[in-house]
Amino acid sequence: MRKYLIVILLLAASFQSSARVSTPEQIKTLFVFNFLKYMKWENIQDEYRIAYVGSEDKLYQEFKAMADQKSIAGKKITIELIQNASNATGFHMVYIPEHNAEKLRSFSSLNHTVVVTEKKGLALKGSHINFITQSGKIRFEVNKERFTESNVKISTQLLNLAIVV
Amino acid sequence: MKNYITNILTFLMLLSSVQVMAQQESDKDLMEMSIEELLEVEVYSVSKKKESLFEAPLSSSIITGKQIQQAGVTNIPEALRLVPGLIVRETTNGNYDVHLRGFDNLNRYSDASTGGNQITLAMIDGRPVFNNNIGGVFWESLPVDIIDIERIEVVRGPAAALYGPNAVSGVINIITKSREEEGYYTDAQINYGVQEGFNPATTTAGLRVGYKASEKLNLTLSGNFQNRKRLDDQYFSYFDNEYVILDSVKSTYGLNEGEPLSAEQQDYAFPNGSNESLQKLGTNLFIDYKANDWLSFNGQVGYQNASSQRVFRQNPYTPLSVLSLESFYANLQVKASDLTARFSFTNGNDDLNSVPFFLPSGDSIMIAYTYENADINLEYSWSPMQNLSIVPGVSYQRSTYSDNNLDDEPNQLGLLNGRKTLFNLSASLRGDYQPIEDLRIIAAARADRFTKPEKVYISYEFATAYSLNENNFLRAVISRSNSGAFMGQTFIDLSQEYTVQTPFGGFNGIADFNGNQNLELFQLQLFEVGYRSRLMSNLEIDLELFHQRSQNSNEIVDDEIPSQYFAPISNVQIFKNLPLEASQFGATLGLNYLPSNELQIRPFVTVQETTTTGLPTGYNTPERNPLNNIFTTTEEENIQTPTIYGGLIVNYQPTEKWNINLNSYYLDAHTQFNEYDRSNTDSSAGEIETNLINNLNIMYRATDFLAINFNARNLANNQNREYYGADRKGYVLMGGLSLSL
Repeated sequence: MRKYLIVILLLAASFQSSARVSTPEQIKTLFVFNFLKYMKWENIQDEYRIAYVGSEDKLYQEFKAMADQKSIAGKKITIELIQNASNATGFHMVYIPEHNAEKLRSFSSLNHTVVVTEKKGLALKGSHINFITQSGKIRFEVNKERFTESNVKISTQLLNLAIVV
Repeated sequence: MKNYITNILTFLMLLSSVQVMAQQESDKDLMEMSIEELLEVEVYSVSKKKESLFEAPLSSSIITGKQIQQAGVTNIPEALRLVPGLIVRETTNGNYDVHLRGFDNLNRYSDASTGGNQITLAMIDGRPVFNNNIGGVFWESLPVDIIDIERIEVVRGPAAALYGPNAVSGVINIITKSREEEGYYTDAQINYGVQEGFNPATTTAGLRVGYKASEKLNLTLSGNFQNRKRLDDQYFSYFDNEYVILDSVKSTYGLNEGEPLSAEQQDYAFPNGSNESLQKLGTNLFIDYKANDWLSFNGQVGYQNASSQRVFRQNPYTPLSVLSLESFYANLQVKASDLTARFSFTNGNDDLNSVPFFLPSGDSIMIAYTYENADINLEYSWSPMQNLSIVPGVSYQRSTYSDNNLDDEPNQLGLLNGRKTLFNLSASLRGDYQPIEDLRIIAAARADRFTKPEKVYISYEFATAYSLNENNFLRAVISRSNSGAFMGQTFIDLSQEYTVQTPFGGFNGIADFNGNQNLELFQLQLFEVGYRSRLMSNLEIDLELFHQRSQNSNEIVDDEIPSQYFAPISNVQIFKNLPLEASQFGATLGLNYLPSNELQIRPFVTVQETTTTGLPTGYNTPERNPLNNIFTTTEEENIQTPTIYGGLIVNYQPTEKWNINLNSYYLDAHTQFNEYDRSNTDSSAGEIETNLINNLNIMYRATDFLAINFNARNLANNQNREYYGADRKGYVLMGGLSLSL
């Protein structure tokens, strides 16, 4: 039995070097990239600025990878780390990961900034877009009122795919 | 063993070469996906289970209905082989003995029924499905089957403080499917399998039809059926200490010692023939009604009828006997705001020993009875602060068993000798507190007041979980649980005098079997630490180290024979607590590895060692035998439980249409004992060799609503027995259809 397990562990290790998996983190960053295409800010110049509230964790790394590879109509995407709302001005989007969900309240008064969260119920507590997982697939909730309040336009095409709360 | 490893290796390598190519393709595609396409991507999130009490701090596992279907499992207890920490041994085709982390056959020379698992609580949607007569779960008597399952949740370790008495070694909770989309729906499954020689082995079928009228109302009607044949044609004969055909099985007891079962007795003992192993039928109606946001009702009613031939109650001939089990149930759960109430009622009849146990008088002892179980639970969930919830609860359980039904049967004696009732009233309190984000503490206590023994038992559970960072997680549990009181152990009451005529004149004898209303309840104490880590985004490791101690075992033992009876033809027995205590150390390691979207690899293994102190050298009261009795004891390593057991699941889904699943289950060699071995020390029936069972299931989804599968169970045809006196295994080749409309 011991041999049997060792063989499997070794085998598992050899697999992983050659393959990647679509994790929730990867899919969420691709959603965010797509969202940018369906929103309109008055203050866009030559880049889309996204702030990530937290540290250089796995989700941040995925954002970084996405930002490095993608652009929208010739405009670059940048991703920066911030810790609190006082550093958040000038960003088009702020992403608050689940483990920092309690910071949401402090981000609720920003103008021209879309706040994206990933914890059940947060679309009703002040975020613009909130990711949830249903039956193993990622869904997003949109709070339309918050978009109006922060003067960012969202296309009806995107609203049709969202769970509007 | 080597061959199996080679087989598995080749299979995995084949998969890997295909999947690397497929993956490079899909990585590129992913980056170009539209929102519509992203919404369809399934994501793996091994660390984020549904937030519930069940989650993180306790040692728990979940297996979903989908995983069960992918593995080609066609039976609920067999599905438990996909879960870490469970010892699942097949006795005859479709019948299983299930133990959580062991503590099985502790007393060694127990009767086959008391040697079964009396200490794990099984539930369907929170309703206990537990046999209160002898303790334990009769898996064949579950009214639901594979087609009804949304998921099975398993909690390892004592958890009575959270789930009620009998959650001593853990809890197995079967959750039935719920429906999200509105409208009519139908699910159907049918499987047919053959054994060696293309003889029929297994037929299973399931059907669910339902209608979700609105968000508020959902109705589902389900039915299930299983018919299984034995894969072996022999029986272990206690008398000859070997496996023989039924005609050659002989009695070891009383005046007919050495005599085979007559044709008439065979017909009576094995009414469906010696070939049948399981016939099972169940039907259920589920009604869910949500009146408004704060009031909802979930109701279920159902019926089941089963007949199984498996290793069960002691009889003087052979370990196999036939059980016939029939019951109705009703269950209603009402949620009104923060208050949850559950009412359940079961009414049934069991006939547990078809193989007669004849007394010298010619009468036979039967365990056949009717029963009624009623349960009421009330819980209130109160959150004084956002990070604190407190749940007080009360519950009432009442159980009535009667063998008055035997009164009209000539020459049949019931062990209970009438109608007996046990009930318990309990109060519980649990708190779930998260003082800081990374720390969670669960504390729970429950007091059960039993009628027999007339006493209050306290169960408790402290569990704490701490996130070191987002990828590393530590937890610890201290808990203690006790079993409930069981009818048999408490109330057995059979006494019969007789005279045996000999050439030297008549001798008076007595058969006198007694329960014990003051038996202390079996208790288990646990200390456990666990560590979970996401080593990589697609590799999670789950390690648990546990130490458990048991006390208050009991057994029926020989008692003093009053002097007016002639000892060689008399039998006086009573249930007694034993000084026996078992101590166990063990570790379970599980990995969940997702090299790609298409491939999942999940190995798990448990290594454990149990030592028993206070093991009696003789199952007698001191009055019966002052030199060799339950208080003259030894210390022994417990060899009755496998030291190593575990499994491996490899699931490969190369395209939407194909799914290939290889699952293996391993049991280390061990030695079981039986009451019969006391007088037959040469017996080898309990020597269980190493078992490795490999199953392969290939599914093809032909259309959105139709899937077909080919399923090879035990494909390497390992023939080793897995349990004392059980059947030799064989392979079964199955084909199946499943329909979803």
